[in-house]
Amino acid sequence: MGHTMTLKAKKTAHTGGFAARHKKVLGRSALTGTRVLAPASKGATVSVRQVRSALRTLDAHAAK
Amino acid sequence: LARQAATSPEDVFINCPFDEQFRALFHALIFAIYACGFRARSARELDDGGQTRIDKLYGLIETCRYGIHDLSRTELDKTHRLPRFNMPLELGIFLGAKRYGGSRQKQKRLLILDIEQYRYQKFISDLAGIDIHAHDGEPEQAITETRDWLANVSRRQLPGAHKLIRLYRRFVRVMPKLAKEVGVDAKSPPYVDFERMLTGWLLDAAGSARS
Repeated sequence: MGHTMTLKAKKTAHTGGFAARHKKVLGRSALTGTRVLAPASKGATVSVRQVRSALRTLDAHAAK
Repeated sequence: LARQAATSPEDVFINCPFDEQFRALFHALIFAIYACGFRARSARELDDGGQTRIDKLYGLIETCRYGIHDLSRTELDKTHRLPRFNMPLELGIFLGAKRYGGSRQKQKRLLILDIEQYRYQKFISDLAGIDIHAHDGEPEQAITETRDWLANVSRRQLPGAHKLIRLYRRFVRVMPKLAKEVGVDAKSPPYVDFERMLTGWLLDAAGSARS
């Protein structure tokens, strides 16, 4: 009796799935210890990067 | 097989008034959501002219596993002397998705907020049996309710309510300076810009101007 061959579906990571498309972690907050997720909304006049830069500017002014 | 509509376990739908009177509470809800590691979603982010508003709401509600529904605004509109029905409608859509949707939609969890805990019995008594939480119109109470509820439904370890309130006070103090620095209206920042200011601030470690 010949051996039987079984076909197994290869498991693949769902890297292009819902989670990958909808989750974007900006980083971790030192203030709260939690992840900070990127907002889903569009059309902002400022970016998170600009905000962080502005915070550094405010810090520099406060340090003077 | 019919497609199962997925829900994002990070997304929290906020259903609340967007007017000036409610702004502090709206900002507090957004703050609590992002500070707890989730993402706020609301009808304020909808700007696609290709869909009707109700279709946009269906899509948004379908995506979110969590929903915070504030039923505070029961007063009559000053101009038309009519009540606003959008919040109860969006709550109904959310409850309908949870009740009649597929297995993923059934995972939806919701928090219903009002000024007083039992006031709803006078205007939406069909909600009897659902636990409604009161924020007394206080942003800090809304943060506590949101944080405690998110910790409960997500089973995640989240920062404590007292810590979040301390941070919220710091953020509120810094926000006018920050808004001025980035050229955003500090009194009534657009929702999309407020989200950027908040997430940027959360990412930054405590500094002298940030506290």
